[in-house]
Amino acid sequence: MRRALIRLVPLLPFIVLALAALVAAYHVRFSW
Amino acid sequence: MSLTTVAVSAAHPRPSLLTEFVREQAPIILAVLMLGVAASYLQHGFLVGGDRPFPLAGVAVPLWHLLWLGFWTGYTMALVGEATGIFSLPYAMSILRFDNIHVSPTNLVITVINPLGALLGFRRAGQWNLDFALWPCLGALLGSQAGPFIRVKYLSDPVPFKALVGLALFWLGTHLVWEITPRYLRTREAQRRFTEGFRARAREAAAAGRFPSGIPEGARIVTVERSWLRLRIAFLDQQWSMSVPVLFGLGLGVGIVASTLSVSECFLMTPLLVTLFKLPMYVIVAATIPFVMLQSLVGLFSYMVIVPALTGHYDPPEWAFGFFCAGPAVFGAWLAAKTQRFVPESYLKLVAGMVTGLGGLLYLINYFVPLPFRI
Repeated sequence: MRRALIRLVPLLPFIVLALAALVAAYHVRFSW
Repeated sequence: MSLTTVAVSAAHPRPSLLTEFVREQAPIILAVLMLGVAASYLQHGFLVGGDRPFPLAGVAVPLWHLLWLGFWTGYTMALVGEATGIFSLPYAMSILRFDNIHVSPTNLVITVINPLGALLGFRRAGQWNLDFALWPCLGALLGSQAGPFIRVKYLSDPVPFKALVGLALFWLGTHLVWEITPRYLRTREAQRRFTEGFRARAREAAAAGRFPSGIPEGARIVTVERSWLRLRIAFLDQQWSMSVPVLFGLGLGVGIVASTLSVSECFLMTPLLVTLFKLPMYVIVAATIPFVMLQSLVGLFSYMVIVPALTGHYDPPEWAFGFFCAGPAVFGAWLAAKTQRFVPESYLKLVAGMVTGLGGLLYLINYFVPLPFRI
């Protein structure tokens, strides 16, 4: 678990941006 | 000429992350969220969110989406020393469809509060230097006063000039991405040494089972020398010497251009500081975060006081929308200040370069084809 976190922390900005894109796509698909 | 010559790096004991969060961040976040609830009842008489639309915004957005919008924009932009505005404004307008006159002041509410998390977080992390922040802030404070007058007197149509700024931003964004390539780093000794040092420390920490921080605990940005003409700052084992008149002139120029054309000051300042002074992203936050905070305050004051006094017209913000976004944006910005040291500079420059280049491209496109959202 800790080793996975160590590998993932430097990628956090891209993970957050990818999640934001997913949420935006979900909102456009179901709320527009 | 030297007023002071200081090179002190005293090790201050730092509180644990949890203590820092509970003492400094949680009260601010809770207070901002409570202001959101209070503003909702005072402005509209009910709690907005969910199926009940925001009356001024004219949109129904679930509360979780606003909290998420604040968090991700606060986190991403604080990583590169900026405020949420560049992301939160187009997102609110084009995805959430909050695209009326109230969106600009609402966005100002978010950007005034949001950098507080980064400001306190970076200060605790040692990425803080008021000598460095002072001159760009002073310059921009003066410059931003001239902008509205230039706009009214000489610039009836700012769109072509905005397109020129867009072109410059696109070039700066491309340059930021170019700066992470091995070919560029081969020609820049200091930047290559910084990158290699960061990578080695991160690798060493990861091998020891710790989080891969490329910046050792206790590292601080210190003033080595300051005078009316030169400022020398140091971080880790490197030093940067900057001309004070150039720093001031840069702030002044950015303040004039940004306030005349209504573009974000920090959006211009961050890539310029990186490109002109070859400063690492971990150092520029010491200047850009206080800079953006000050500029947002000036912007909000101008919108709430000066513009209504001059024109007799006042467009109130959708306060609850702003506060509900700003609370998690403070948390996101603080988290960015705490995790920036784990993110390699190449990733930070890639994010900053993409944001700057894309923003520049939008200004440029807007000249030829009007965009469905305001930029």
